[in-house]
Amino acid sequence: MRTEKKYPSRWGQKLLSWFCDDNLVEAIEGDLFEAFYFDLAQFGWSKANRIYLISVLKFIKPQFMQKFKASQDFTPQLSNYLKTTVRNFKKHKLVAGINLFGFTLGLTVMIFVALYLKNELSADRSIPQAELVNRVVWNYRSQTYSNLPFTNWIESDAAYQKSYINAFSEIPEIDHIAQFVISNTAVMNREFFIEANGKRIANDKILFTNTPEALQEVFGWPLLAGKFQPNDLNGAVLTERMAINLFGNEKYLSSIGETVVVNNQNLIIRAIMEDVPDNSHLDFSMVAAVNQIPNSWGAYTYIRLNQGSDPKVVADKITEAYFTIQPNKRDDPLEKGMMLQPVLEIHLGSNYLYELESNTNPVYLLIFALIGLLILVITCTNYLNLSVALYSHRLKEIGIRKVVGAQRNDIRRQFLFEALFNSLVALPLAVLLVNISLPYFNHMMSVSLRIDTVLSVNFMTYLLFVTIVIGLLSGLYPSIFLSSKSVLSLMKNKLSINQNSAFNLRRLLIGVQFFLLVLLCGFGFFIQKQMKFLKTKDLGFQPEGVVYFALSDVDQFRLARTELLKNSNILAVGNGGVPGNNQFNQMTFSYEGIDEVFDDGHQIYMDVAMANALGINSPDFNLLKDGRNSITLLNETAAQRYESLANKSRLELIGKQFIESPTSQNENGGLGYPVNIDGFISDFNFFSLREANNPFVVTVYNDMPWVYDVVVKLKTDDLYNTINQIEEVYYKFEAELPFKLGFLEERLDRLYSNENRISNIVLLLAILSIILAYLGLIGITYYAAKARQKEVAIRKVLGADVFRILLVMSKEFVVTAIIATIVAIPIVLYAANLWLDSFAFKIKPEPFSLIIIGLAAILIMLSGVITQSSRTANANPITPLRTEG
Amino acid sequence: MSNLGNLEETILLLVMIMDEPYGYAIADEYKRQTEQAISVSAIHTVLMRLEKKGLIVSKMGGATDERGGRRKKICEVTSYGRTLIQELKENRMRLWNQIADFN
Repeated sequence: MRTEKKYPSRWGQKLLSWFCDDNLVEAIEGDLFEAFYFDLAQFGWSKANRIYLISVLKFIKPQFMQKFKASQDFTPQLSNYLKTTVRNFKKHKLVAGINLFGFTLGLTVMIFVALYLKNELSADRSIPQAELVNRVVWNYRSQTYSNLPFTNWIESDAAYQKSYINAFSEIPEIDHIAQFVISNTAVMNREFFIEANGKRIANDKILFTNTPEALQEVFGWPLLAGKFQPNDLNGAVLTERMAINLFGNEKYLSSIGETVVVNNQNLIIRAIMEDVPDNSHLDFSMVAAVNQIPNSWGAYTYIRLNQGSDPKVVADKITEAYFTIQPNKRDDPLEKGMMLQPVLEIHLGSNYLYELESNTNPVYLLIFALIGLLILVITCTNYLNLSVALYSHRLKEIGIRKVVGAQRNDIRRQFLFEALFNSLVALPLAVLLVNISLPYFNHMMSVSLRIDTVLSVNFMTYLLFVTIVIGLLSGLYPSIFLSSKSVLSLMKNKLSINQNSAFNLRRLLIGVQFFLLVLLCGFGFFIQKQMKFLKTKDLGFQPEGVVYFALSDVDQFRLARTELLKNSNILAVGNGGVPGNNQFNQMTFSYEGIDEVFDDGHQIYMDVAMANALGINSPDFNLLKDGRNSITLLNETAAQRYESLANKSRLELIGKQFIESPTSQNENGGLGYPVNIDGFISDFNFFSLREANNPFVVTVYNDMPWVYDVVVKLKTDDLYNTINQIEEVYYKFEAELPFKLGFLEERLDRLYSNENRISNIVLLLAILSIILAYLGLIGITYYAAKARQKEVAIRKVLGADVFRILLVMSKEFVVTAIIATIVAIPIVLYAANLWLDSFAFKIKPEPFSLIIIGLAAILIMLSGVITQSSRTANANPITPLRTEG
Repeated sequence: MSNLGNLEETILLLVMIMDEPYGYAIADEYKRQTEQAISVSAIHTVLMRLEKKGLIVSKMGGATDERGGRRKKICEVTSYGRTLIQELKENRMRLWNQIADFN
């Protein structure tokens, strides 16, 4: 038999009882039912139901929906909320204080994250129409050069230096093209004195250019006075800072026309420009407009394109123009042509050869942003936990409010208001905290952020918005939770939480917090471990007590060496390429009898004194004692590769030829530049540990015929005096160029400056998250212990001891924590491996250490749980049992 | 004297006529008497207004099966309501009586 449908749609009924006021709903429902049955008999179900639903919708009118309005009879005003908030704060100083503290910390981290990201992402955006500005970069072998070499390398005269500029400026899409070199970079490894107004300043970066007017057109630096001159052969533009340095605060703007001496050349000051922003990838304190850029084998080339031109097309035209000037390059198999790189992409992780600065890896920005987000989540969950705990004292208050007539919405609004109030009070505190800790942050991240940025209108608007969102998010759960309780259960002071359900919000929150905790700590741990590994790994040489400086002339070097060695604190004085370098150009090579050509080689020069200073040794150094001036050694990697390719033993390789650049023509018309292999040397890490061991050919001299860098090994006992003596000796032989001493250990550290920053920040945030999570946990435990006090009392009455009760109370947390740890482990391992992939030499992250971290965290947490629970566990069981409920 | 709208007046009269006046029955009666349809929500709105003005009182009672077991909100006119409608009628009659054509 077909069953007749006898009831109207269920959802109509649900809708009605949702929006309609509780005291009206019954009668209305009844009336609508009656109408429905009348219609049912007349029209059948579907029409009757339609009429029914329409009738329900007709009740959506304000007079039936009073419950969505704040109560008419009892409307607590904002002032009442404020009073209650402040009173409760005073009553529960500790927990409320912790809550406020948590908010403040969370907001502080948010401000730092925002400041830092803003700083990094806005780099070079101050250039007018920056999207049109590009850098010309050059692909050769498998590497990309951030600069272009001059057509005749270091021997280029003024005309040669300009040959690319002249050729490229013919291209119609290029509006302006400029080239420059900044002192003390890989391209111009020199420092200069800046002399003016009777002052002499050393070690400030100078930008040398032979195209000053175009340079200003490309970068559009704001000028304070004067302007760049076209075809200037002896001009100078000072940054504000340098001008003040040289001419003082009052006179610096009127210094135009004065003379500055750089590198023995008189330069006339043409203009004063604003300081270059700190986040620019360019850093200099004066521009020198000269006919010929000194001491450089190439230059950085920047262009400004026409609006709407296609960078790819321009790049092709540039490559074509380049082949026209250098016809032999067209057939060079290693030549890969030129490319354009947008200037806005440089600061964000450009990692070509000879970059002007070590650029910020965008992955680190991402990590930073993610961690900021994690802290935000922790802050919100924390507030939630603590406030629910706090509110368990206020159930009666809420009950009374409800009795007096407060509607759900009034209660909701009250607790949202409290959360918002908390976050808004935390905001100025956070700004204060940022102001205090900004110098430390700047130092740690080597940036120069300013508090002014925080106080700007835009930033403040953003901050206020974030604060309000955090406040509302945090207050949402407590407000909904508390407003939904019935008056009766509130007045009985009973918290009906579902203890039995396996999945409840509280447990989820503990889980999430624990998960984030293990995530941050685990990741931080592996980063720290890798950083330690980088510092302690045997590099194949000893950097301790080794310093280095530049000297340009080999005769000066020989004299200086004799002088220096007179000092008993100086153990060795050598000459050669200093390790800890950034990657430089690779070498193409092949082995005698092997056809294959490799392009991953490097050539390194040093004299035997430098090898001794660094503790690099090889039995084959003995060959130098027989009157030979130089020997050519293969490192282990190069030797092993030859061995396996030629299938010969190590000894049989001696005397064979190693051919450099086998694809280019030598002066006799043959191919390549062969050298005889004299011996072998073990691998050492000339570059950072990001690079794997590459084949090196190391040429060791008794006495090198030119100078690379002077390498000195010292006794560190009397460092200050020894360094002063070295400086004295230096100025005896080199008066024109400033003295700059580097420590090898610092140089090695600098290779990992980006990594150091991220490891510091992750460590700091991990500690913060531990503190925050611990505080939140205390809140949760407090709440849970209170909710279970009757259960505990009954257990005690039945004979359970305190220990057993603590065990029962901790079980829930421990299980959740273990699950969270297990979930976090693979994610941490994945993230750590992702990060470690950028290193050729690295630690192996094992899950074991994560388990230890998880266990430690559980122990810390347990200590919190136990201190909170023991109060309940030790309490007199009579008291909770006596309370009604 | 409080003002009474046309619909309010009609409904109040219906409440006084009927034995057991409540939302749906009033709507039904209204349709029968005036041959005009009216929605239940309109009836409830008017009843709420009348109750607020103190012309009627209501009590819950009389659940039946065809109401899905829901009780009715049964209205009753108050003495104030009665007086008011009486006054209203007298006022109207006084006006009517002054029109010569109808006498």
